[in-house]
Amino acid sequence: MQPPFPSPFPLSRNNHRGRSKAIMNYDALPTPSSKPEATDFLQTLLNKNLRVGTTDGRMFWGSFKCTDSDCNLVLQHTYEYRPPSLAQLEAATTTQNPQKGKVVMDMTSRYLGLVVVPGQYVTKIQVEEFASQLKSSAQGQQQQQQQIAKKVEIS
Amino acid sequence: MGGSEGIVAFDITKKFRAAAGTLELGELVKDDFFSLFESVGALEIMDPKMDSGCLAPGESLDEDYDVTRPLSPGEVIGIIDQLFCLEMAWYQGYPLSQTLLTNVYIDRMLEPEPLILQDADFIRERIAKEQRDPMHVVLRAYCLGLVKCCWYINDRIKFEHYYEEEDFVTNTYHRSLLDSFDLNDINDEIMAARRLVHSIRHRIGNELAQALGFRLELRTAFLRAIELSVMRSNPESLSLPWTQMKAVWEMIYQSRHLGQPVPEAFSTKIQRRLASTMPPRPIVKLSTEETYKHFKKLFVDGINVLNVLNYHDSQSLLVLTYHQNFVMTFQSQKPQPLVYIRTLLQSFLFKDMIILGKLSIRHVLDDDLSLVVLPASKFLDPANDLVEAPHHPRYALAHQMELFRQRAAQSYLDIFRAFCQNRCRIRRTLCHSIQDWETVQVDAEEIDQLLRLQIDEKPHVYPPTGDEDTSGVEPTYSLPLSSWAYLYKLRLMEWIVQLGFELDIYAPDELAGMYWYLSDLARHRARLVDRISYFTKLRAAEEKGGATAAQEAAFIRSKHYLYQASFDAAITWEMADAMSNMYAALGRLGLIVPPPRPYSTDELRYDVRMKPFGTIGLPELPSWEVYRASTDRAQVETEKLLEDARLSLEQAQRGLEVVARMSEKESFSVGCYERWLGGVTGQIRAVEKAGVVVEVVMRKLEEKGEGTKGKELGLKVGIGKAAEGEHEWWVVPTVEEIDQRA
Repeated sequence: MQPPFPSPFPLSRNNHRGRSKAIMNYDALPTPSSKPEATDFLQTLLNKNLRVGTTDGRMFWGSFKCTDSDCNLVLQHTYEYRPPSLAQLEAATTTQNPQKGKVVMDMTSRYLGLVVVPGQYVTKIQVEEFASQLKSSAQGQQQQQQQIAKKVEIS
Repeated sequence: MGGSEGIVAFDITKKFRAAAGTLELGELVKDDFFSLFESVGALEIMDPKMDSGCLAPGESLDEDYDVTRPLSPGEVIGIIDQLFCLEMAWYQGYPLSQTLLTNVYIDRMLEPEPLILQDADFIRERIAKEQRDPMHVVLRAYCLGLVKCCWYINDRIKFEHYYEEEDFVTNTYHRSLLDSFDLNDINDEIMAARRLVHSIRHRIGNELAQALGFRLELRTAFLRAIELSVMRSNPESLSLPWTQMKAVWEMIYQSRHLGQPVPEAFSTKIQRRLASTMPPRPIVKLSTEETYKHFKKLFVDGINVLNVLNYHDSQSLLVLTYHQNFVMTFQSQKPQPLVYIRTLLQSFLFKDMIILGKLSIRHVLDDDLSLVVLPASKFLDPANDLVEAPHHPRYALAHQMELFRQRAAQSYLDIFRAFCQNRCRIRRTLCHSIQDWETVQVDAEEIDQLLRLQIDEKPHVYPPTGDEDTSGVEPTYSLPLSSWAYLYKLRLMEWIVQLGFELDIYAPDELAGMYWYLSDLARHRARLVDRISYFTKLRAAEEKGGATAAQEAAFIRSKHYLYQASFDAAITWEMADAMSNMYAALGRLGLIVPPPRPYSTDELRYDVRMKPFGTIGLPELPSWEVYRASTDRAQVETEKLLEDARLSLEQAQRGLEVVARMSEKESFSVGCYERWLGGVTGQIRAVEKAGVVVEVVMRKLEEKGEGTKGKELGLKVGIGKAAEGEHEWWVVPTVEEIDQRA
């Protein structure tokens, strides 16, 4: 069951303060092994919208601002999403006439603002990209990697 | 991968963890524009103290209360009465989240936001034709009225000057309080419910039907009172719904035993769904008795505050000093009127810069000037405005006076506005005001000089020497405008000190000094009033004969005012002197012991304490040496100190007794006479109490002989809170005789 995530202000947020980063296919990226690589990886994620799952089943959606060695995450303009409770699920199954055992439900959400998600409670981290920008990512990715290489040299 | 349209999400959990794992302890990867300082304000997720969404194991977020269940009339009364308690808690400054928004019925009614009135219901998906539980109709109508009331009150308070958190929380947590619905439609719903209750009275019993009816009636009246309050004329009709509420409230209180509490209909869980980052906090529970008391006071204050609009005192014009008295006495009630009433007062006084709904600021200011310093003066003659020849002295007078009004109006109104705030704020605001009045006084002096040239005023020797020979003494002018400003400034300074006592700001060992300073200020004021009276008398004598009846009346009125003002100043200084001497003696006898203060000196503390007055040029703040010498009076024997205190108290008592006999008009307290008189008798009681204290100490001192101190005297002195005393400005200690062998 994949819940839809309505984005209240999808465009303004990804271009936060004009710092747009080139798009890459994260699945294709190798797991960072060296420290400069790791730092660069985290740097590229800054100001992107992350979806952070927590141990209690909630999900937090906000703009990534800061992390540390314990994987504590600081998210700005965060919304909290909560999966439907059992009672609600039951109600939905009775009203929706499930086909193939599936029901569609919205998560309840509310605005929280600036939050810290302590690393110990983080179960899942997802990064959001625009599909439209992803299409041209084959070239973009190369450029991106070149840029990273440059940065490493400088630093 | 997955997500909404156009957005792709990649799972980077592993990579992220691996990458973060390479960071050193304490090393951060962060956005350059993001400061760690900001992150201090971040909410920590899963911390039960911060994260309102953090559930205890097994806890569910949903409210499992069933709003569709049938309700008995007793339960509806129970819920409504509980709502009264929460409503009052909100008026007293608790947030909606901890009060009314904890009610499940109200929550369901407001969320999701109803677009049509029919949807403003806790049961949304009703089969339209189905007969409805009448009790649901009643409860819904009541809640509609209640929420609409809240919206009006919230709106009114937001519009006026108040202090969020300190006085009132206007946050509605993103819930709309039925703002878009028409009041008439809601009134219709309540009326329909009242008819319904009436029609089923046989089925549910008369008593219950009446009890429900009263509660609905109260809501109707409340909404009516709010609706009318925007009009600022005709206080009689305005007070009608308030009077009605006061009466109905008694009936509601008497029928409270019919209510059957439904605690399940209230839950803190609802807070998790409010637009708030605060974790759930407990429901604020006022007891029924407290709620009763506060509502009663609210309705009484609601009626009283309307009296401020009552100023049609035939031809004797409006005297703002009446209203000053009104505002002062109204605001010094204990407990203070609720913030809603205070904002009503503010809106009555100042809305749209029109005082009390029909007077211009000029009118009010001129009236005050005429009362205090310029009775029947040509400075204030409205005919001056009609002169168009720029070289005519009257033209110049009109021009200069207008300049002065423009300069002083804001500062003048600020005093009234300040007095509409809570007591701590009043004091704080006044501390700023005196700086402002200092400059008003300077500017006024300049204008005084210009005006004096226009009317060619002759200087006089003041204070009058009595001799014919006045050479060597510089004659002075009357300086009416700056005298007026100075008088206000002195009064403000006294208020600051007096509010200090009221708010228990001063330590026991400071009292002697602060009362000395108060007496010093009062003496300055008395001297100033004398001076003003002297020059007014001179002018009255000059104009004798040519004066019209109206002018005569103005002179007499001013004379009355000045007479009363000098009395007031004299009483203040006598009482303050007595207190100062008494506390100095108690300090000397070791009955009041200052706490150890190893990190500061008396002088430094004095500087800090007197900071608000430090920048005032006139009267100049006494130096530390003068202050200490005048407070300690080291050269005077203790017996003499007590004797002086006794004499001053006698003087004060005599003065107060004269004042207490003054009529409404003489005391300038029309419309608030009782409250004013209450203040005076409170002062008399304070004087009497202080007299007893002085006597007891004198007697003990005589018994034990000079030099005995502290415990050996067999006395124990306690200093209570000012609010518990006879008068909040006069802190009288309690003296207890103790067995000194113990």
